[in-house]
Amino acid sequence: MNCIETREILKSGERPSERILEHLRECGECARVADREKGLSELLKMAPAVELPSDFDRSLMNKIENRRRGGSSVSFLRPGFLVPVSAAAVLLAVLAITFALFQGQTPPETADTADESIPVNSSADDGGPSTSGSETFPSSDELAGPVVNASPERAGTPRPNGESADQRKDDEERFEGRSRDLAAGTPESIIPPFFDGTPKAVPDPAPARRFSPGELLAEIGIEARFEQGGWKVLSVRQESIGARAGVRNGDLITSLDGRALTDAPIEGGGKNLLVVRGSRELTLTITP
Amino acid sequence: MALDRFELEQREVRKPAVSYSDLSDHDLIDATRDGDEAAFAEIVSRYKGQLTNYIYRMLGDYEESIDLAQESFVRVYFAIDRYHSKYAFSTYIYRIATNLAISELRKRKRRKLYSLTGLFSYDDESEEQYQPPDARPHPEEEVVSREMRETIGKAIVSLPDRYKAPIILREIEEKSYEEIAEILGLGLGTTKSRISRGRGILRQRLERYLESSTDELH
Repeated sequence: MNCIETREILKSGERPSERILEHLRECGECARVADREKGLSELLKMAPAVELPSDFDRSLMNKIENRRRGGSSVSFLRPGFLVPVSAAAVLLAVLAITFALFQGQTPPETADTADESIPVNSSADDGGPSTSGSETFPSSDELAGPVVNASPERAGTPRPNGESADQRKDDEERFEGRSRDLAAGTPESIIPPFFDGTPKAVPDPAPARRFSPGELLAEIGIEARFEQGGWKVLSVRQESIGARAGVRNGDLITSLDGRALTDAPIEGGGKNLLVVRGSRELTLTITP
Repeated sequence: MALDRFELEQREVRKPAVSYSDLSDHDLIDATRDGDEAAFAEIVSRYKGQLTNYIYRMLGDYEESIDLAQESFVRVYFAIDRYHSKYAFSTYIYRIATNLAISELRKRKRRKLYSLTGLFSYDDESEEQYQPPDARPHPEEEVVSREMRETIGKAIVSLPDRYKAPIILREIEEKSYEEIAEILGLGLGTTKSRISRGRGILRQRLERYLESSTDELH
């Protein structure tokens, strides 16, 4: 057993085997590493512990009793209950498809429908799906990737589902039966729906929600403060959409798709940021 | 009447002949399934301390830890019919607690992400909030030790989520790699690698205490 192997095992916190102990007796440097790793393990065991409140059991029993009385969510999930619910869901799906056929439209593809059920977008690097059943353990990917980039849905602004722009466009035209001015004719390709101002297809879309420009910028990882003439960038989160668009600390963001950014809320979003950097004026395009 | 029979069956609780503390977890689960609430109370008393502390070390939030530990037991109770003894009960309940804690961590991150005040300080690897467990005055000589323990707690709670549970389960709960892998639903190799990386981060964060503790060893 050589030093590299020994140290790798020691640093992983594994208990040293007989072979490692043998090596440690001969190698002073590795013995020092072993001491250090042992010290780390001992330190970690000193992490503070808490004492339980005296009413822990009583409070727990109350919770159980309340859950039992109040039609608990747990009993709701019991298999016996899922059968009629599933049947009703299938029936509704069949009705929806039939309705779409009668309208002379192509029914939405199954994949699209499935995508709709995904509540939160997960970008390729955020580690996978973001929701898990309360008793379904998350996959390793879920554990590996806290849902940092993923965002919960906002009212009336569905999150992207990983579908292509064409699919999204098809959906919209199919359901709405009218062409929409998709981001003023620009290739909508990869703009997140929240930001591109094109609400997902619904027969009568609710009026777009208004957001503070600061909140919109935060959505793409830009921290900014309103100053006279625009939003002063205080920081840009690494690897964020804003960073990829080229926004830098100190930039003054003055408009979004030609709309001046003031401290007043604006409707929808956009993709072209007009930025003043020093004496120059730049147009930065948001591409997630 | 069917209903009467059902109620009678519910009341017909088989009390074990031996003390509850002598029964295995699986025996207690069986007894709970048969309607013996005292058996469930024994399970609670066996796990409540360690489970609450485990969640506390994940979240660094006392109230939430109590709440989620209780929620774990509530879920065990209502899903008792579905529990299979394929794994150890401790694996099962730790799994539930881990899910709840991770779910809470995600909720917090989302809240942070969308809160205008907390938004810009947000950083994936940044520190979670940490509430020291005990604010009571301590004797002078304990102050340093207390500060050190709090620093250790902070170092753990601010680990990236993917390393947090494996580290706590291994280093504090002293579970085997195999059990940790089962609790977290990970492969053995991934589990070991996360523990190793988590230790690497902690080694850096606790450098100053590490030096002194290593000195003491010599």
